[in-house]
Amino acid sequence: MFALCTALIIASENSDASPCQNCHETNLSNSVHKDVDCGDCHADAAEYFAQKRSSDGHPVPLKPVACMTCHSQQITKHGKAGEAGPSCRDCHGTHRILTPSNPRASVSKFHLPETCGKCHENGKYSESVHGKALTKKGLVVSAACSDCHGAHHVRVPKKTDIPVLCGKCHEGILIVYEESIHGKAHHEGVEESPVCTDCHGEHTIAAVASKESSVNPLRVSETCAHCHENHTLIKKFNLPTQRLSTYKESFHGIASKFGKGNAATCASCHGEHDVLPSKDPKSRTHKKNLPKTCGKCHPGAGKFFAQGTVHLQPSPEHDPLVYYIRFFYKLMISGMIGTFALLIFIDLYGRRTRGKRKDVYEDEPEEPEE
Amino acid sequence: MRMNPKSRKNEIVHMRMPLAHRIQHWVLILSFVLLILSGMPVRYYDAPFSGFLLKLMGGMQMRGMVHRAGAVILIGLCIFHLGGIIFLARAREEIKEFFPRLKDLTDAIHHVFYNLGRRPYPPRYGKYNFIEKFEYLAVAWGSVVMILTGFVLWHENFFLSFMPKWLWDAARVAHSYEAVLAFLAIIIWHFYNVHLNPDVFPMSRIWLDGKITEEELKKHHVLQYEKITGCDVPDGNLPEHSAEGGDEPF
Repeated sequence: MFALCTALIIASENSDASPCQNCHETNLSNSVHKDVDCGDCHADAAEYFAQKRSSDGHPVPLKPVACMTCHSQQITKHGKAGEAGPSCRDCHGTHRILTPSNPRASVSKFHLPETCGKCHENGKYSESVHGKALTKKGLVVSAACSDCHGAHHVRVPKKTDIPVLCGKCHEGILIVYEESIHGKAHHEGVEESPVCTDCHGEHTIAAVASKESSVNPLRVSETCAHCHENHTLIKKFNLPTQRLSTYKESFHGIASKFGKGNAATCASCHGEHDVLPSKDPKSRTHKKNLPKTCGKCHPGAGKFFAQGTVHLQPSPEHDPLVYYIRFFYKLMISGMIGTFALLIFIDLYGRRTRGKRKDVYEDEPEEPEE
Repeated sequence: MRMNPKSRKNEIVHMRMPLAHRIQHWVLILSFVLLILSGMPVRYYDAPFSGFLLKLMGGMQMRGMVHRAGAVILIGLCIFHLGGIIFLARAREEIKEFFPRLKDLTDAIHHVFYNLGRRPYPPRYGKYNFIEKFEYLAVAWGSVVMILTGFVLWHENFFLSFMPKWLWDAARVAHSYEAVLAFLAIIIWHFYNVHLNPDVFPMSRIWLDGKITEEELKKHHVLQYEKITGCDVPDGNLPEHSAEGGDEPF
């Protein structure tokens, strides 16, 4: 009897509150809008029922919901599409809208790649260190789409903003980067100076240990070479030349090329975020710091490590001994090979012509005699 | 005239390369091949064969092991060789045959003039002609350079604890270029002299059985022939001339 009464009461209350439930089973109890009436959003339906007082269906379709009625602050600009971009519901959904901090929300970090991926191909991101941290490790602090591109004002981040953008999470690195030659140049407005993404990539950012990473020890030399073997940049900023070619012919370079992962690469000696020119006393490659830098791999490295050049093409000015030994051998090799070739040729010629020659001697024997 | 190896049994032969020498030569070949195969991929790191060879050897780590194994063999051989020279009177006598003399220079010029038809007879060589002396001395010089510089490269941390890096770099450059020089000398010069030239093509067999026929000895090392047999062989009686030009001495 009690149960029956309760059911009746609920039924009558419902039919009083809203006619929607007569037809729709839509349940907003899990939504951020659970306290909002259907009619607040579907104003045209509410108006229809208010006027007609009929429980017959409202005309379809209803007008699109105007979220801006309440969320007037959220002006959406979506990249090049601007205000003509996707509507609120494309990202946030409809009746099951949840706050972004709720892991089940379509705009939560965990679901953003999927949500944005409805339009934007995002395969690369899912494989990146950020994507994997989110989906595999469940790290909510990892960067998802909106962390770099923004939420309601979606855009391609400007190069000038990138260090600070990445520094939102990688704060410690930002501090180091700002002290480096790249960071200083960037700060001074040198637009060619590399920012995070120039070395690490964007959506493809991978863990350094991964072979996919552009800064993996086996690949980093090629990455640095994008600028340090670029003749335009070398000329413009008066950078030292032949950085990659001389590295490649060093033992370090050769071992690295053939997959020896512990061979020294650019970053092993020059540092990563703290790269400084060797003239700077703070640089890891400054003469006085070389014993320490080389000592990371070469136990007992001392001052003798610093007496000489490191990946510079030998010339009479620096490394004269190396230069002259190389010169001597080049001369020796070409001279010797030339002599061999000549002697072989003469030998073969002699063997070929010896028969004919005998006649010559018999004709005029005194001429060739000593 | 070409010697037919099959007819050797019926000919008088002399021992030119005794077993001890042949073993040393075999060991030298072994170490040379190991060193070249494991060294050239470093010298020519960009060449396609380098990747292939490294894969074959099992990577950089193994390459280093193979190279050092070859080095140890070469060093052992050199010690054995030097030991022989120091302690064996016979070897001391033999090594004198390799000393360069003025005659080698005149022989070389004579050889060229002979081939160009400006001299009627070839030079009269002793046990080792100027080519063989040059090859021996080149191997000796090359081994010294390669072993010394190679040792510096092998123990880089030890040497760099008292040796400036520019000197170490010099050792590396010398090692690298000397290797190319040695390799080319073998491939071009030695192979022509013992494999490819029409006298011995496809190969002189001396390195295998150590024997030289009396005819060959007379033709190529007439002074040695005279010393062994006690006969005088005038220029006109050299085998090539008697074979091709009839019995008439010039």
